[in-house]
Amino acid sequence: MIEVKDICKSFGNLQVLKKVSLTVNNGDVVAVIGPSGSGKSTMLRCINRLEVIDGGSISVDGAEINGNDKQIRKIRQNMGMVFQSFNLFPHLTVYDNIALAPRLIHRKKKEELDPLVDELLQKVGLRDKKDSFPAQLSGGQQQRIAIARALAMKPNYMLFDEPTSALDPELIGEVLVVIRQLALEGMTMIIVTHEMNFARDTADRVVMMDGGQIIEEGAPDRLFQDPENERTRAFLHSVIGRQ
Amino acid sequence: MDFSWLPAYGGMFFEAFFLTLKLALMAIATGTVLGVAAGILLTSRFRLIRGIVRVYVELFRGSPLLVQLFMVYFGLPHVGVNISLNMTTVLVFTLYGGAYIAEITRSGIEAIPKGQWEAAESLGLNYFQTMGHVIFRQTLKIAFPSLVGFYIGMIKDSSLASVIGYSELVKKSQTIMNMTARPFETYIVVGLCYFIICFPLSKLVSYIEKRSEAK
Repeated sequence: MIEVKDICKSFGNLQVLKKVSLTVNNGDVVAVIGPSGSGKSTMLRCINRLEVIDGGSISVDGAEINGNDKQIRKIRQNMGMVFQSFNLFPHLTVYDNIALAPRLIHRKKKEELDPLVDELLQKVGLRDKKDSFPAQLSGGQQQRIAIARALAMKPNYMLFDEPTSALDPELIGEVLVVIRQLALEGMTMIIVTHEMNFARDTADRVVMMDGGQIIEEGAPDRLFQDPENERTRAFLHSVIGRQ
Repeated sequence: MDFSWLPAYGGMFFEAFFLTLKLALMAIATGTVLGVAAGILLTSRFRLIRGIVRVYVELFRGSPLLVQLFMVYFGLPHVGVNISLNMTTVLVFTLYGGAYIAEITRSGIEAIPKGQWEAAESLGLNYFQTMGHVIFRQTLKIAFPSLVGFYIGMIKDSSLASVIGYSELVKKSQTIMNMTARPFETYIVVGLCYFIICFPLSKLVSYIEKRSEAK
């Protein structure tokens, strides 16, 4: 379980998060939506301490995240992160991108890594790309490899930071299929996204952020059909109206 | 021009050429080890560490190599340290080269996108694993041309060791000149010797730069 309580975060004079609280139970798939600059990504990045919070608290499985390096590494190993810009390691092959963390952290040998990488590549549908370098892949393929890499430590949680925002429209589908599959398998996930249809049919719960706060949250059907908050209504109108 | 004397002195040239190479290679090797370590420390999150290394780097980048050579050569015996001329020379070149290589390394590390750190750290890798397997491997590729460019400079600067009596090419050529009375021709040979080492290196850099551009 991930418990975010009253977290605050400022960059200089700009307060990006204003007392944000969110609870994610095991098995939950939470989609976070909202206009750009609303603090969605920052909240996600605070959860695995890529950003350090200024106030409030974040607990994972009952343990509050403090400044301890060892603790945060343990939490990160159990929490895969997928970035908007993929961030694959360009000097490593697909195989080595995926195998790096289990090899270094769990000291896994080739005999264990081979079947692990194979299983993950199968999951993202890219078994034939094992020996390619990231630059040889399309954006959609790169992001699928990034998902496989994030799964390599067998995490209980997955964080997705706008996983399809950097992709050409025709490549978005193949990435969403993979994330949807993870949801079906029961993975606990927080997904920051602009894909409203995807949020609606994949998430158990949708969280709407605006101005550094969560202004509304609820079941997707309810939230999309009958938003309570005026700003949610306006936001959904402007995005879905365009789609 | 008259090069008829050259065959008789070929052996001497060869020996001096070898000593120049030896000095340059040793200085490059030790200077690279020192410089890479110092460069990594320059990106440390601890201000004190950065500060200390910064003082070293600026001191050795901010004064002439020739002065550094004299200072160590005359200074060390003064404080009771007696090491061979060989050691003194390599020491100075190491410190001097290390300072420049530290800067090359630092700027290479800083050129790696932040997302690479974040991806590695979000997998649960620690600092050393991230630096060693993700950041530094990419830094090497970025820094390679400037590094080899600096090595070429080091090879040429090794001629300065002649002023404290290290018998490399320039020093030896003075002896040869005294015997042959052919300064112009002698210096042509000396210049060619440096050129033979440096030219292929600079060709190598442009070849690698072209290859990585094509990718």
